[in-house]
Amino acid sequence: MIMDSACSLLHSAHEDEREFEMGDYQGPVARWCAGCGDHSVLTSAQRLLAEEQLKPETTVFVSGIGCSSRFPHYMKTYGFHGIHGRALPVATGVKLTRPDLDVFVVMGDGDCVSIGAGHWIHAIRYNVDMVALLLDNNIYGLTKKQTSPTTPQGYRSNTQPRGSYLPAMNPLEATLGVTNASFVAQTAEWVPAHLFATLKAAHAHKGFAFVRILQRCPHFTPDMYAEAVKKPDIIEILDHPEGIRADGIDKVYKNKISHDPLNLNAARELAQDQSAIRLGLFFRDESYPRYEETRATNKRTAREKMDILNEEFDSYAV
Amino acid sequence: MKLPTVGEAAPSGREVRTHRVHDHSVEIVSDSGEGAQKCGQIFGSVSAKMGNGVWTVEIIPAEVEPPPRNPAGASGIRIRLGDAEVTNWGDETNLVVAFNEQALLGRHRLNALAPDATILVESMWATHPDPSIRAQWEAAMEELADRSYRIIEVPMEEECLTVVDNPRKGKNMFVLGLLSWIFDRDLERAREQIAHAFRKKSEEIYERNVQLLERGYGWAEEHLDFRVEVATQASDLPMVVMNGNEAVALGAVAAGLELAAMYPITPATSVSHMLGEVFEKYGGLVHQAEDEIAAAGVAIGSSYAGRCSFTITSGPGLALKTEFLGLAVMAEIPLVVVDVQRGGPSTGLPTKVEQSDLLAAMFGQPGDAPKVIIAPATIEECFHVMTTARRIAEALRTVVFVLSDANLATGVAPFPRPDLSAEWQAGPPDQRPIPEGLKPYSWDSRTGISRRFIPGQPGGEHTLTGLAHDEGSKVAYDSVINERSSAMRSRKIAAFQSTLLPPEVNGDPEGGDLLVVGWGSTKGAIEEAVERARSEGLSVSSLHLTFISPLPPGLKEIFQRFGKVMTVEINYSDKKDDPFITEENRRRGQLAWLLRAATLVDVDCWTRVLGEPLRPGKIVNAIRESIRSGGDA
Amino acid sequence: MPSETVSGGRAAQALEAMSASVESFHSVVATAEEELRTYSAHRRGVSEFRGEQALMELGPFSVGRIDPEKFADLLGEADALSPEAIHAVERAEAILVAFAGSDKDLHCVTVVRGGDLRDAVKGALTEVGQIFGASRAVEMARAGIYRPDEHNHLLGSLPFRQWNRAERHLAPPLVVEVEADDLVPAGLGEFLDGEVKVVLVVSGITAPAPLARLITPGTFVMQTADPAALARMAASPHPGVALLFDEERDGQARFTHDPDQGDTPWKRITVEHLPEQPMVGRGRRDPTWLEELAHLKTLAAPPSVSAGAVAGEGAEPAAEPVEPADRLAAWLLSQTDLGEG
Repeated sequence: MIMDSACSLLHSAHEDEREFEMGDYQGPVARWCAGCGDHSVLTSAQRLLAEEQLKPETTVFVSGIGCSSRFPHYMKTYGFHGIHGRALPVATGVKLTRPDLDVFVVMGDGDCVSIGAGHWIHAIRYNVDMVALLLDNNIYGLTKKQTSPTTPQGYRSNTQPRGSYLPAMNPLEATLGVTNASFVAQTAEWVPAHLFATLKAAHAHKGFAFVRILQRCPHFTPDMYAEAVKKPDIIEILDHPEGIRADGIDKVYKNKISHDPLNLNAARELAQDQSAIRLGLFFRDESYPRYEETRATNKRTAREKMDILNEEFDSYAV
Repeated sequence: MKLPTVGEAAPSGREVRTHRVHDHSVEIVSDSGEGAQKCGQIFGSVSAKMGNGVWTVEIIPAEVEPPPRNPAGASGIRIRLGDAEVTNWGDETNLVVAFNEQALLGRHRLNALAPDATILVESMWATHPDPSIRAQWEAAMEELADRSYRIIEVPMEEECLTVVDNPRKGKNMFVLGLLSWIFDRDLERAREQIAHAFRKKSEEIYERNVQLLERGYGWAEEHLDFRVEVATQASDLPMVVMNGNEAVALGAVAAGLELAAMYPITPATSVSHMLGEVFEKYGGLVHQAEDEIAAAGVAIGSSYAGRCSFTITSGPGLALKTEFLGLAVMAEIPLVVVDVQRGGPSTGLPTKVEQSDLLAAMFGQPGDAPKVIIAPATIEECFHVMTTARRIAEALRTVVFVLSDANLATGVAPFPRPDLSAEWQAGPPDQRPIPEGLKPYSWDSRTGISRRFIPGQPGGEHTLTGLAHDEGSKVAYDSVINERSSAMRSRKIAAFQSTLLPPEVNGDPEGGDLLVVGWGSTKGAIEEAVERARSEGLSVSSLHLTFISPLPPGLKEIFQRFGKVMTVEINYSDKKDDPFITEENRRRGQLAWLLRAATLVDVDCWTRVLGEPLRPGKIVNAIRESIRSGGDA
Repeated sequence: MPSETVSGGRAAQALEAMSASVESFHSVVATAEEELRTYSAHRRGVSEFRGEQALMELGPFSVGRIDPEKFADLLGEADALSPEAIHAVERAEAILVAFAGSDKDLHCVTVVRGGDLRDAVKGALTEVGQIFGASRAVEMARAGIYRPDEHNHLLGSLPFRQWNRAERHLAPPLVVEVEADDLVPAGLGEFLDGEVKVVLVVSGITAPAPLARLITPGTFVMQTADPAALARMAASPHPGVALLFDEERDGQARFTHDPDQGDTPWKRITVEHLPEQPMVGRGRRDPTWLEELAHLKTLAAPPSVSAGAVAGEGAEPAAEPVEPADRLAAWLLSQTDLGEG
């Protein structure tokens, strides 16, 4: 039975036979800059929802603050545009309370990897069933070009005008280092077929699916991935029957490497190695415990609760 | 000078005197980990069951295990017994049982003991093989001789060794035996209570504890020459006894709250210990988050998803949650925040009481963040407040603060067993389809209240945002929208205020020389002080506030009936005669700030931050002083 | 009739094996019923005793502090229902209360001798549909979108065809007692959706593999003589149909088709017993007997080693993913094998 605590018989009433098209998930026109990678992710997400026929009312996009965090506003689902860096705790609360909801989290690199880094590490550990998208454009865009943790060393910004002082942080390496990481993938917004296939695999995953999406910012970092866009051969596709296979990209992306997503050590090595930009599924293991299952409790009616509480009071009785 | 002591053998022809009193305070002090608190809790419970008014409060050092035999490391418990209801920890201790003289010294130096207190102290230190310990003992006795204490040496260790190998683990039950004889407690009830306290331990441990209890009782019977009688009156009313944190936890269950998100912090944590044990039975979940911020976020996410959830914290944690609380106010997400206040600022006094978070709760969030603040005054109210808080949070889509404090958190007192009602609980998340035209913030212009949308409701899809937004939750690009939405969030609080009833005056509602105004856990001490002062003929009354945001109606009018109004609080204020202090620059008690602003009455304040609950006797002094100085506020 | 008591015992055993889903359904109905009763009590409270209701909900802490009448006024009449909606809620409540309170067996159906199996199942599901219809009516009424002319039919019975996805997943299991002669399972296909589970408790000698025709990739299908084996179907998240024989006979196939066991029919099907040859001669029995058995054998047979060799995948073709064309080749070959056998 698909019954759960929050979704009672009375509420199965509007489970109907509606069919959804991409347009059914489209909110107002997105106000991102022309050429911004966010547009591509938005379209891919809408396509995914249509393909999976997710009901708009039981789908929730949670975001933080930043350009990419405007994402939920442009979806016609439920959305939670919260505060900087804190999308993951909110999403965790949503899913713990309502396992029946499909939860997606959209974060920028400042959001996830900098101010919200503590939540990110722990969300991986909790392994709550949700899709977490890191839209990584290597810069703070909304506040106008400040260095982020993923800004390449030496890259100039308004806060570090002589170039970023520190080596960039590698979010994949960090994620793969956390105990209980169950799904780690990387894709790029300019390879829509791969992006879509990755979102689809992430959504199908039971657990915390972390997807880093490499993304261009035409306004502040137009050169960041210019070379990668022009020269597909510097991109290496992780290929495996159990991995992510995108339709129709083989002609352009010929550079493939076989990688078994169950092999964590190999995944860590590939994530660490900076000799190529790698897209694909680094790691997936659905056998890891999910927090919402570990912590699931039998729901009680108000009356049952009062009966148990009355018993509880007996041990405090004078 | 050596005080008269009772020796090891019973003095022949010993006469036992029984002191009949209305009220008696007992302290048991020891090194940390010697079980003084457990002893006191059992003694308090037995006394409550026999029909005494009881208030117990723990004496907690800041460290888990401070160095032994150290005056600063005194750990223990105070139990105040009365022949009527006891609402606070009282003034000074009348009877002290000390496991060593250094812990005793610690209490003496804090002026916790009555000048004529009786002291039962472990005698082994006086004859300890270590000369430095013997020297410490001698010095301590010298220092204690300043007062007219009556010190009785008790060979606790020696006696316990006849029953157990490690007396460190047994003295507390021996002491329970001593107290049981002194106060003529029913041993059968004591045994029952021991069985309850050690219900998770083996039968053997229970048996041994009972032997120690009986040994202590026997020793007292044989050697002591005094007993204390505090009249008991059995009540027909079924009663329960617990501390304020336990009451909050059970209150959360009664209110139908199902998710508590927290991060460990003193003194709030024991709420989640309690819930951690029982909450799952009710289908609830205690989520220990990775930090205080995440705890607020998870609770907010859970509330957004259709429940009303809560987070529990203390001062430093509250500071961290600030941004999320602002979001909850802005996006109108129902949320209950329990703040068990402790000494501050910063890490402050983690285990000690203060009422210093009021203004932080009220104004802590940048921007205008109106909300509801409730301060329960008793342990019973700690239980019932949760239902009311949850209901208001959901009805008004707002943040509701419940300000408890370390005094309530660790104080234990009996109260009438609640008559539970399923009506206290929230229904399941509303999943009805949203009728066309209704928006996520379709504010009623008169009340500012709007119907809450919950994910799962078809037709209600929208994105909630912390950005300024219009009725449709659309980001505001129009200057008028922010003005209007701010007004709506504020109006809810005003509308709610219109449902509040004026508070009652304790004493003379017609007026008088002085009105003492308090809030939160100080109610018992203040009312006891007012009663004593009135019996001295002073024209004083008191008024206790439980709703602080919004304030109840009629305060200005009530204040005007009194010559002077003065708050009594446990937070810092400048004293009038401190250097540099003037009428204008004086920083006042936190409630005094609010009352002055709300009523334009020249409200004075008397506040202390001694890291302990207020003593009624000290408040009586403040009342006398305030009335003596007249209008010279 | 002795056979009836035997079959009755097996029906009870079958129900026992399905008990987890039975209980789960009952608790769902009970929860809905309590939820609705609570809601109705609240609604009546709010409309008739606003102040008292508000006071009860605010709890004892509010006494002397909050004026419950005024508090109720603040919240207004936002949730007030129209008279039609109130009527619908009350009727729905009566339906749910009746279902929750009755001992009526929703799960057991008997096909009278010569009766129609499909009709019996359809009728039983339609009756269960009342619960769903009533629940829907309540939600619509509470949402203020209940139109009597359009929605009153929800307060009657709701045929399976009108159940929505969630309802098909909530469906309670059915145990149907049927004589071998009336066992025409082909018509059950239309009900095998969501998590509908049908157990056919049959008496007498049946065809070897009557359920083979109902095997589709997503349907749990089982023929067994062991009631305890049904627990596996109860636990499956797929629709399912099972045939429970009254005894193990050589001429009746015993097998399980579990959709979760793989992506090819031969991985999903576990055969416990397969009759070598029908015990009857041609002409005496309906040819569908042979057809059904052949179908089962076909599905259950993995492609031969030679097919794997054609695909170039080595010695154990079933263990490796095979290209569709190779699979087709293997299937064709296996057909040939069967033909030769």
